[in-house]
Amino acid sequence: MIAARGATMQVTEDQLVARCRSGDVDAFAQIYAQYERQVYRYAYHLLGHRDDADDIKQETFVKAFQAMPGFRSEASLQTWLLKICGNLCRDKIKSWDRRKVSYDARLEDDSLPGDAFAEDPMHIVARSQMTETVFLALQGMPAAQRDIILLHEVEDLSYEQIANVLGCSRTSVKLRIFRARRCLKERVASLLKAKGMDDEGKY
Amino acid sequence: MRGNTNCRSVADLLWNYTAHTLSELEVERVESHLTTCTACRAEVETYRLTVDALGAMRHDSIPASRRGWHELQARLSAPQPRTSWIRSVWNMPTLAWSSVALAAMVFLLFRPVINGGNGVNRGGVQFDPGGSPSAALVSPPNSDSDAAMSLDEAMTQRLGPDYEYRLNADSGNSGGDSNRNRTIRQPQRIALGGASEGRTRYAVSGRRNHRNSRLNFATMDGKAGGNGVDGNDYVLTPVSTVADSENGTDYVMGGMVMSGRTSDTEVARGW
Repeated sequence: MIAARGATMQVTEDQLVARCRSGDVDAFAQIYAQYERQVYRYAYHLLGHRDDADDIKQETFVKAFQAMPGFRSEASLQTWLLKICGNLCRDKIKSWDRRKVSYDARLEDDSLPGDAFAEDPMHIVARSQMTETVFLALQGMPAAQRDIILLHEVEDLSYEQIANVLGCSRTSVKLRIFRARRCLKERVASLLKAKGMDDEGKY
Repeated sequence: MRGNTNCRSVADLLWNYTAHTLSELEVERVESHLTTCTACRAEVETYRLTVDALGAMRHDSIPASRRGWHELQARLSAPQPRTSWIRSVWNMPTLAWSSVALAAMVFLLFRPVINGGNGVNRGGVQFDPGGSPSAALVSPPNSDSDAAMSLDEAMTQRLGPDYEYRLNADSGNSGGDSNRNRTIRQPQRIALGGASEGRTRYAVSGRRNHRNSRLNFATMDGKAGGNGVDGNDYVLTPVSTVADSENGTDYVMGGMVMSGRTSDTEVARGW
């Protein structure tokens, strides 16, 4: 049943891809509608920053549209898009690193004086404190570790899919997830300690 | 099996234990250890909170994306930006390379006196000064054509006819420090607002790709002011329509949909 549904979806995607190759923007709109949210979320968590995630999302789809003729149908559109997005994010992070732009500075940079566009307080409230803590812990991690945690734990990709996105072996993915989890846990623990919260989960 | 498994041997299993992805046997092993070890129970708690939070991040409300399909569509439908000449040269086939080399030699040998001419292109964010409105038009979300009024009209009414405003939201290429002279890809925010001392201030925020520095303000009369401005003159021009809506006015500029008011207090948001 699931396989059958997967096959139908595959056919549909293949058709859409074929139409995109001939420059059909409407077909691309459907691909966009299907994956836009995930691409944005991945970029947002990877970069920790809405405006940058917005930029990267748009760039990802522009690149994807342009590169559609080279897209191999045996690959999945989802991993292909995340791969494009991830590469763009990594470039961005590298350029920050080169210029030693810290995460805090980037947040500051995002706000105009008297900024009406600063992050909507409702969103901050809606996010639980614990999610916020983990989010911060992720932002403090090396980008490669954050990346793999996001792909596995948030985007829910299999080892195989992650290997495709990152262009590495499945074994390497497993090992890296293992290390990244440990690193994340350490960071979360120290943030919780710093916040003076107990580990009982009373937030 | 030993009753007292040590912490080291279960440490690697704790994440999967909290994520419920262990085999029964492994679960037993972990649990029998947890009954005797407070330190590992605390670890498990941290893991549990972390795993739960990551799960929540999958569904949680993250700040909504402000750039939608319409903007992308405008970019996809627009003519492709010209490839930089450096890239074109780089991609040339060998024969073409030889021709260039030959041409260069000829040039060097018979070089005419070349007038200096100030061809320096200042870096940073660039806005076209003046010029007629252009760029792809995208329908505003609350497209009420009867109520529609061009931003041009709106701003002219408000500011008088002496002002020109053209926002050049030209698209550029991504990344790369070498592209010092291109226009910003899409200014991310535009606030219309704050008439101060007779001048309306447009706040434009964008990122210069080569330095990630920001342009914050450009005044309507083309004089730069505020933070982070690099001394270039900026003139903003609307490229599209305005429709009155409940909360003010929706603008579409260079494919970006903004809604806001041209009142004294701001603001453009929601694209």
